[in-house]
Amino acid sequence: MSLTGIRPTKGYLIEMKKRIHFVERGCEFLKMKRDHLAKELRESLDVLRGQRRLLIDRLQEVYDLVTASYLTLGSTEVGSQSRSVRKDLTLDVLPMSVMGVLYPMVKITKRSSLSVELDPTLEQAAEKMNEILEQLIHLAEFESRTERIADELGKTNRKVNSLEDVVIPQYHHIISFIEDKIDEESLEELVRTKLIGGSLSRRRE
Amino acid sequence: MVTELLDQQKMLSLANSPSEEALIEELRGTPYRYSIENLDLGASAIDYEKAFYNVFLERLNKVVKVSPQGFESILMTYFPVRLEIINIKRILRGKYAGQSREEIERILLPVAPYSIRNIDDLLKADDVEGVVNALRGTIYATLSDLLPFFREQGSLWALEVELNYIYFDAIEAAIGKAISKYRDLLIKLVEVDQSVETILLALSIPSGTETLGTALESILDRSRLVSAETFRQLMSREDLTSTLSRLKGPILDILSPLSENDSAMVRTKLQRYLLETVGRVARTDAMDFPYVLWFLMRCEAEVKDMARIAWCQDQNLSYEQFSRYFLLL
Repeated sequence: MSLTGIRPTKGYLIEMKKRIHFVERGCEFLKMKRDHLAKELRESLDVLRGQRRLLIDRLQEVYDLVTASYLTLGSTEVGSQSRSVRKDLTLDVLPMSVMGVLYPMVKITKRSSLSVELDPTLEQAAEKMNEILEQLIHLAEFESRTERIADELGKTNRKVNSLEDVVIPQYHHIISFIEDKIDEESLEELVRTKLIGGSLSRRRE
Repeated sequence: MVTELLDQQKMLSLANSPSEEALIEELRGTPYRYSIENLDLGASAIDYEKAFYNVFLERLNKVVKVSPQGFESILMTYFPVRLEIINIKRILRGKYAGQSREEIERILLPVAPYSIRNIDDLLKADDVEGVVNALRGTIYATLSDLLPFFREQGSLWALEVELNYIYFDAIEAAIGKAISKYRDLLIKLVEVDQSVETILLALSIPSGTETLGTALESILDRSRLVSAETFRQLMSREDLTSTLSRLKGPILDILSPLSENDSAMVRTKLQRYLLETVGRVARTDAMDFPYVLWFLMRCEAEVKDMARIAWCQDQNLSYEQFSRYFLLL
């Protein structure tokens, strides 16, 4: 950091000390935010891994049933039957926040129902899919939340690092520069005072 | 024409194609080469299925042209009417779900109208009732009797069951007009097919519908091998195993996968049973009606297996994983 434009005055030193105090407090807050986000992320990742494994197993079951339907009924028949299911699932997407990180929360306002007769295998697949649809939506919501927390954690970490490694040392550097300057000036002043005092006392003699 | 049928070796080779390009290349050496000419690389499994069905329908038309008059009416009822009914069911479902004409047309099998005048009249209809009304004056006219039932229930199952009965009634009528020698064989095929299809449909009807009473019974009572009471029990899904164990004959074996919750296998077992039953009789005389029927059933089984291969290819699945659902592999 360039030291040009720095006024080596006591007023400026006080101002700088106030600023560094403010920056250090901000840095502490950011560290607390970082730790909290890291804890949230760790917990979210554990939940996410568990939920994903569970859902992948259940999706595999659905996929096996869908495959069996395609192989026994044919693509056109499965196409016809599956498209005859009325699309009545409705969702609301609401904004939520954790530590200032916005993420979407999905609220199911109307669940879908299988009001049409499907082939038993396809119906089994549809019922299973309907059962896990809510979990799938919540998993998507949770994934989005986790991604955003991870993004925010990255940003916060960069801010903390930049404050700790760049901004705060620079302020310390400026403060010590001003203090040195002020000490130097005080010493000069003292020497000058002593010299003036000596010459005045010699003149009086 | 029998020489045009693909042997198991060729089917296996098609099923083992490592990519769509390889599958197309393999198909170039089969009678299916012309049907896939217009398909682009990356065509959907639906496009393949429709293209393969064109081959089956061409073969059917060739066979019907050279068949004696008695055979012709049965064959045309057994195959095109069934495909036409499949298309009618798809149109009804499409109208029920409010699909566009293009969406419905996309999944229709490429069969020419047989008992109906024009498929356009059905596609132009605004809703399910419009389709049923457009079918007045055809063999499907009785569907309109079930419109009050459809309005009351708001679901299509009664219309679908009725279409199944119309199909089997039409076959019976065609048999009556023609051959008496193989009447028992055809009746047996029709009864088993009809009963299994209706049972599968009964299993898909939402539970609670069984309390509807006489209207429901009047529809289900027309089944030959399965009583209305059995249908009620199946629809209530209570004690499925014991209900199924009370069934007799080939149906019991065909439906046996239901006890393991593998209803997909029921259709495969039904198709195999029909093919094997006709095949056994056909072996006795290669020039008679059962042989012609077996040939066409074998053609259709081949087309269905080809569509399965195309789907496995589309999904990047090995056919071996699901080979139990194939008819000829």
